Amino acid sequence: MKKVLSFYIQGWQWAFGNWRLVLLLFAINYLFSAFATKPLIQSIQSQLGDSKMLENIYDGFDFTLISDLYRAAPDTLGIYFSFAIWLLPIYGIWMIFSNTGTAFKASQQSNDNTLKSFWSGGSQYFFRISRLTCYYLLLLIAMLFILAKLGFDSGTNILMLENEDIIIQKTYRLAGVTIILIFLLKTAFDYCKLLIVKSGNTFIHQHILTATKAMVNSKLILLALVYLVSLIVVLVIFYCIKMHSDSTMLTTIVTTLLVLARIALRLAKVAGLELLVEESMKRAKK
Amino acid sequence: MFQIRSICIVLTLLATLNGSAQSKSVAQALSNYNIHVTLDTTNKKLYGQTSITWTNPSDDSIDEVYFHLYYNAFKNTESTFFSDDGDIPDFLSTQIDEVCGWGWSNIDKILDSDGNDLTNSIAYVQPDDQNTEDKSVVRCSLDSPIAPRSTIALTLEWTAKIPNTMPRTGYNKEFYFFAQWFPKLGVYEPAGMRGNTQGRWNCHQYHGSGEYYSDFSNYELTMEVPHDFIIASSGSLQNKTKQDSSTVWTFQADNVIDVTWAASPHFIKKTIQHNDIELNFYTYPYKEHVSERYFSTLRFCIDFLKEHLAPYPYPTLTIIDPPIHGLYTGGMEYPTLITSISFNFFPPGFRTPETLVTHEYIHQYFMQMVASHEVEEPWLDEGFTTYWEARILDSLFNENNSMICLGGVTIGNKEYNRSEFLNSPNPKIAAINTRANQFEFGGYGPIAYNKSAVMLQTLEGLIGQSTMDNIWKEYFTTWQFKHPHSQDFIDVVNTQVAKHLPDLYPEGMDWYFEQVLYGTNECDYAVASVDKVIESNKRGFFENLENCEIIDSIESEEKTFEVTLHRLGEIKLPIDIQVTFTDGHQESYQWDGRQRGHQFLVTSDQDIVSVTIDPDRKIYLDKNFINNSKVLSPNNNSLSSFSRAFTANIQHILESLNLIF
Ligand SMILES: [Zn+2]
Repeated sequence: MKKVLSFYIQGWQWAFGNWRLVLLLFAINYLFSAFATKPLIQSIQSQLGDSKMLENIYDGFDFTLISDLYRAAPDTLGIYFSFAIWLLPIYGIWMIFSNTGTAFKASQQSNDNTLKSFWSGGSQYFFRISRLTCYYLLLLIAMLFILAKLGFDSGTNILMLENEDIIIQKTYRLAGVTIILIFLLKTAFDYCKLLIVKSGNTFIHQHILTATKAMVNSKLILLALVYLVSLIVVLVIFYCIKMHSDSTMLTTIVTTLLVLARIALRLAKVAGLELLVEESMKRAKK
Repeated sequence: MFQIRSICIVLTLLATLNGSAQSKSVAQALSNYNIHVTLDTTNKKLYGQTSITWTNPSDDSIDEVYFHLYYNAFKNTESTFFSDDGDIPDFLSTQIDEVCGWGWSNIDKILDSDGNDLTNSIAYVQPDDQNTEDKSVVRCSLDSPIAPRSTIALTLEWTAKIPNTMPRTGYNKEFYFFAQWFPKLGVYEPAGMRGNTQGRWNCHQYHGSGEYYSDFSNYELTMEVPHDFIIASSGSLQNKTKQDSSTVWTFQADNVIDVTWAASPHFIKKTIQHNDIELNFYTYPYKEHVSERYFSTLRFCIDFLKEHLAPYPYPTLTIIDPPIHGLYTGGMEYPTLITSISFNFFPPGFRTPETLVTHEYIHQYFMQMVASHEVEEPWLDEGFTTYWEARILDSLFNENNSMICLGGVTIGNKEYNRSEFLNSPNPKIAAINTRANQFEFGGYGPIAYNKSAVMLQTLEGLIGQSTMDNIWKEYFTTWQFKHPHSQDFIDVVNTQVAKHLPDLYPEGMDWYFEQVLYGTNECDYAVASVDKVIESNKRGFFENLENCEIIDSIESEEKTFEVTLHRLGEIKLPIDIQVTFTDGHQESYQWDGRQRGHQFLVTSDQDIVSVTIDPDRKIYLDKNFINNSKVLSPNNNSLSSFSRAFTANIQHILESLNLIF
């Protein structure tokens, strides 16, 4: 556990040291979000135009406004979603690239705080990691399918149920198991990315096997759990602040900080894992 | 929240103090039912003996009686109940054939007071359609006619096969719910009642949509059930005795139009007393915690309606929250017994239990005490109930969160009604006063419930809440226990409007009901434009016919604006207009709303900030509130804040996608 905590702390140190990368990732994330928001805002503006109701749009949830807006422009949401769906694959490509670059930069173990190795690593390993991502997605879909099947094995007819608390408990248990499994799987996925960028091999199957075996490594499991807990803590703290603030400005700042914290946490996780990979590789050589 | 509750407590105290002065009225029961029924849980059957005395309320001599056999609607797929509505809801039908869950009702023997056997004189009839497969109504010819105002006694032996999970009734696992379960007399309407020119039996078949219509009776109910079963029933428990193989429960319910009961070995019961009423709540142990939500809502409802209509006159009110496998019985009203439904997986911000129990309690006034015809004029019950549901819940909670209040998402009951009506697939599909079984192309819920409520809400906006309250009081006190029809309500509206608002509406309110109750048109008013009038120079020939002149306009401190309004819908209603100026002061204008458009000039030393049609949202029927106002220089601060917040949320969603990349 001591070792795992040391990896965790060093991971955060690395993330703070690479603040330029954190800011870059934040900026791109913001650009995508702003781009995705624009058509919706334009549509709202064209519908509400010079109506007094435009002034109410941010004054909390106004069901009547949403309902009238929906009737006035029933296609708004459809158009918006089709736009968002089209944006999604582009964002996916960027995510693969940026995660690859981050892994490569972390594998260099240098605190130079420049973005050179991020760009070069991202482009060098992009296709290998893309292939890996496809495998990971397939595995994730299979896992979710099996969990859903387990969850609804009694069918969906609620008239067959004796007591609804059964579904509630089952849903809670299933949600807990799903989150932990996804987090563990994702940690192994990141572990595999590090193995690939460190070795430089074109063939990735050997690394997939090593990463799969690492899923039973207690340090990897602990590290995954520590990061999961960190994410939950970050989300809870920020949610509480957000809920209790009345100022728009404060809410916006808090939300922005939360995105930054999540990006930093993502980087810290990769750096922490890198130390684990390094340690395992050393042990293997011995 | 705290403030609202404090006000409620004060109101409650005042109402309680006032209550002693209000008397509880009772109906003139036309019949007495003495029903003895045995529940056979092995064969899923009811064996019943009923003694009925019935008094002819008319000056006619009557030689036949009609009974509803509602359980025959569940006899097979060919009944009017199922052929009307297409098919059985999917969730009900999955096990119906497996367990042979169909049901039926049969009169095995019928005798008159002289001991004449009338069994062979009964025949199934179909007063609504030609569907001879439908056996939900039976006619019995009498040996000797019933003279005007005299009383007949009949004795029936009957059997019913209990259906499995049919709409509103039946059994599932160990839970039994008996609604419309015994042979029940139709209503004999004397000439003059509900607009009839001559006396007639009113006894409709059981349809897929629409509910019931019955007369006031006194019921003595005796049920024999297995020892471990607990019964929740209409009326008050009189007696409970153990016999060798069963326990016998006796209930009495007087001056009610129906009786309903439920039985289960797993029921738990909680009782409180409010005013003089015993509130009995039955549910399964895992839902016990919901009881306080029901009780606190009902306390508020009881006091609210006591103040606005009349005190609840019965000694008991039974509330049943069925188990999840009894879901098909939840959210229904019966005299002195209501069913709700709550789900443990819904967070408390979903005010489903509060909404349902309020709705079903209000029905005690319109379905039960006023007892209008729920098949022929469903709006008189469901529409009124939905209107009052919004009034009560919007006062109990908050106008914008009385239905849902969950993590920043809020929906009010009144606004939900408007949205259900206007966002329905076709808000013009039928008029409000359509019969329940004649909504051929759908729309029963959005029109009979929601549009009716919005219509009443708009009426309240037009005539003011105090006149509206007078209407409700007079309607209720005049028509309770008398089965009114739509015109009776309109007459009360006209009387009260003539009394309180003779100058505002000298012609009464028929024009309103013609458009909204009997019509399907839409209502939409809009501010089309607000333009500053620029005085231009006068040019041309004036005094001098030889030379052209240019006369400069007179410089003025005052500014003039031309406001143009449009009527986009067909419905014509008088509307208020509010003009707001830069210094914050406001001026009001009126328009009768009849023409397609309307223009007026506004002169002031201030600039106009905005023009708003119907600023108090009195015209709740208006289908688009967005075009009801125009701001001259729109302030985009709110949109910018919304945009920033929305972008931040998208940022989080994108960051979360990292889990799959
Ligand atoms: Zn209802």
